[in-house]
Amino acid sequence: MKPKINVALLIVCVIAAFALTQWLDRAAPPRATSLQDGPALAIAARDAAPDFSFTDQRGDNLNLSDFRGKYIILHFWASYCGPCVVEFPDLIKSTAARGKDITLIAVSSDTSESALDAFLLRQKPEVRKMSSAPNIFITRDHKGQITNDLYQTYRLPETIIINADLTIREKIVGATDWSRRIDQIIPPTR
Amino acid sequence: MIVPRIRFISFLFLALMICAGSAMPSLAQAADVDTTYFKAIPVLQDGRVKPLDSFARTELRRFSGKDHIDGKDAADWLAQTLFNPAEATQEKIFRIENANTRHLLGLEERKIPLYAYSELVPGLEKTFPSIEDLVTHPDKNMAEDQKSLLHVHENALEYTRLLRSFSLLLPLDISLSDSWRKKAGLSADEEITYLKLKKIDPDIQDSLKKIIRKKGKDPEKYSDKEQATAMLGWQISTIESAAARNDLLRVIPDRLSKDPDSYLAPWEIVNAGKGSPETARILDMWQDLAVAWQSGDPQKWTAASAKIAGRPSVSIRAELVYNLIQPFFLSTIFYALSFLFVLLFLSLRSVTKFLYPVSLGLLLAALGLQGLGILARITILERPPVGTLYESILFVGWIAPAFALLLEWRVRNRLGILCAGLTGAAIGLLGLSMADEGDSMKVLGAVLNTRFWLATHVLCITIGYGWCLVSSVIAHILLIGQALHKLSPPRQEELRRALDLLALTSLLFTATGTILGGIWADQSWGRFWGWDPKENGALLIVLWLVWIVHGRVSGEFSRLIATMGYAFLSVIVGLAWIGVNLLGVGLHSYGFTEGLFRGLGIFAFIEVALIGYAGWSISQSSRRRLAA
Repeated sequence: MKPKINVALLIVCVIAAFALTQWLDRAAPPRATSLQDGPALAIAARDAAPDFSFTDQRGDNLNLSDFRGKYIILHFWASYCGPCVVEFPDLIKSTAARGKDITLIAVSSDTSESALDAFLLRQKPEVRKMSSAPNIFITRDHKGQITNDLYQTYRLPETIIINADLTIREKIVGATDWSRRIDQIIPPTR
Repeated sequence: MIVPRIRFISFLFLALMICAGSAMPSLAQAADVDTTYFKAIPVLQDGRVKPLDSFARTELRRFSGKDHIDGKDAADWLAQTLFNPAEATQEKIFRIENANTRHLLGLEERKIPLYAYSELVPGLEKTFPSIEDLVTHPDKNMAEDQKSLLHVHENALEYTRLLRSFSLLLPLDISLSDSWRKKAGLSADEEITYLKLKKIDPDIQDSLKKIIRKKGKDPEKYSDKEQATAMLGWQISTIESAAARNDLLRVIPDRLSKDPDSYLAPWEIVNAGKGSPETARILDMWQDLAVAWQSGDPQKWTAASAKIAGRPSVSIRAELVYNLIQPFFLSTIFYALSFLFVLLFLSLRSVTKFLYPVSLGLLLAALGLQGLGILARITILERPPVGTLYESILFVGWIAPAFALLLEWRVRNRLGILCAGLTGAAIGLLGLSMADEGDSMKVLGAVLNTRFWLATHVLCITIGYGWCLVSSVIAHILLIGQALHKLSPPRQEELRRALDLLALTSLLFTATGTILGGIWADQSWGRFWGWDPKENGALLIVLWLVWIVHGRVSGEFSRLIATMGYAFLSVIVGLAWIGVNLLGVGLHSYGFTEGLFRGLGIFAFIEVALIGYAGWSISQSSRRRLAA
């Protein structure tokens, strides 16, 4: 009888082991080994966006924290950067149209004020007019204190989307079709 | 009669110690700075977050074949490579065994063929054109010399990526005029780094455009100041192009990714736009660490490395302990000693009774250490421990001695311990020989990465291998014991009964595992059976066992033939488990490894000779007894 009991016990153990692993596998699905899974736009870990001071195109001294309560598009660019130049008008038009809930702070790395002014003057009249919208601020960071030191931006254009509570929502590297994507990136508030 | 026995046993002891010594990792001297926290810094490599200690060991083993060099441990070597690259290139870490490769690279002959990167550079430049041709050929068409040369170039490339990992933070040997220093916000004695230069790069490019517009592209026409500006621009772009696609050392957590295990390499911050306020803070910490290393300040080093390491996770801590203890090396030693002592006990029983409990104790210690090592791997990898060929060897190397110990508990004839020690030591040595091939804790491919099938099919098959190996060893003991007239008839009967049970249990596990494998294959690859070499190997074991068992039951096979058949299971399992991987084809070729062909061939030859001779000797003895 003893060998038969041993065999029966063995079979029971094997079945129990199968059932346990099946349950464990269902309870905790395998972790993906690829870092690329999921949608292309990543969601940030809600780090606070470091505050900084800047002087805008109107000569006003402002801080990032002054814009708490609205989404902020913190856009790093320069007039010598080809993709930046191409997307600039689209970015201005798209953010001007969302004046109620979005603020644009466009931080230029241009080496001189004159280069920046010359670039703005070359824009079409409607773009020049929109760039003076109350929710659009253009500044120059020629020493790289905001661009490089604070936000570690080295490739232009780079855009950081900041939530209304001044936490970082996400980062976009490279140029973007703002007219098509701004509502996806920052859904309109009802 | 005692003296020849002692001589034989002494030679056996010496042989075992030599085998163990050749696999022994020597203890490296402690570094001048405390690398405890440095070792615990998490790094992402090959899809897995591991401690920097494991990364350092893998990289150093890749170049030199060992995880320590010149008395320094791998972490110490890595710190020097990252933070003092100029000195690091003088360290002799590249092992080049192939004499033709050494000749092609113009290297001097040495007793130990280790060379520094600085010694390799002229030869690498000279042989680079031939490498460009070689990379278009598939591996199997390359001669051994070509493979060796390509391997050296690949290692050199990996090494340069390691050297340049923190080149954006380290001080540059560049002269900068006062005006540029002022623009970059640098004081007179402040070190110049790439990141600081990058801030003034737009100004440098602007100045260069003006110079070129005014004087053209010929630097001969420039003034000293203009030449200095041109040189500065060129130096920045040289540093950038040297670090292009450098994503080797992923130590910076990517806070902008939703994957909590996403890490960035320092140069990805610049090259791929992955910078953020958090990465700025982390790079500052690494800068402090680099400064502490270069200034040789142990307190600052410890503080900076502790800050970066933070609170290590459970799996990081487990892996650090695993690296320190090296449980599989220690367990192999204990298995070997257990085998030796029980052999001594069986030979000199009346003289050395204490050897049996010592042998048992060593065996239990080996099983305990190996079990803990396997548990550590489960903790670190978060999956069952049988995903790769190496892991299956570790697991079978624990299962087989454990079953043999179970056998010893049932029959108490000391042969169970003998079997346990022998299988543990033999499989342990096999595992150690495979442990040098890069990181042994790999992330599995998608088809293997389902816990259910890993825990059922693979475990079942490897348990079956374990039972088969124990059966084979018992059969060997029976054959050799009979041939040498060392086994009494009752003892022989005892072993035969045990063998019959072991064979049936082996058949149960291997057959079940093979069927489960078919079900898994059907789910993963859309077919139950594809005559894949690994599938054929598993079927081979099942068919062999079925043939022997049925031959015995039907009376077609004598006891001797059946015992020889069970003994030959060692070769069958070797072919099915490891031999099929040498083919490198089929859906199961994820365990492909080089260099085992000759070993397997020699083993099979020895087994055929040993089993054949033992069988012939026994049949001759039987014939003589019958004639008498």
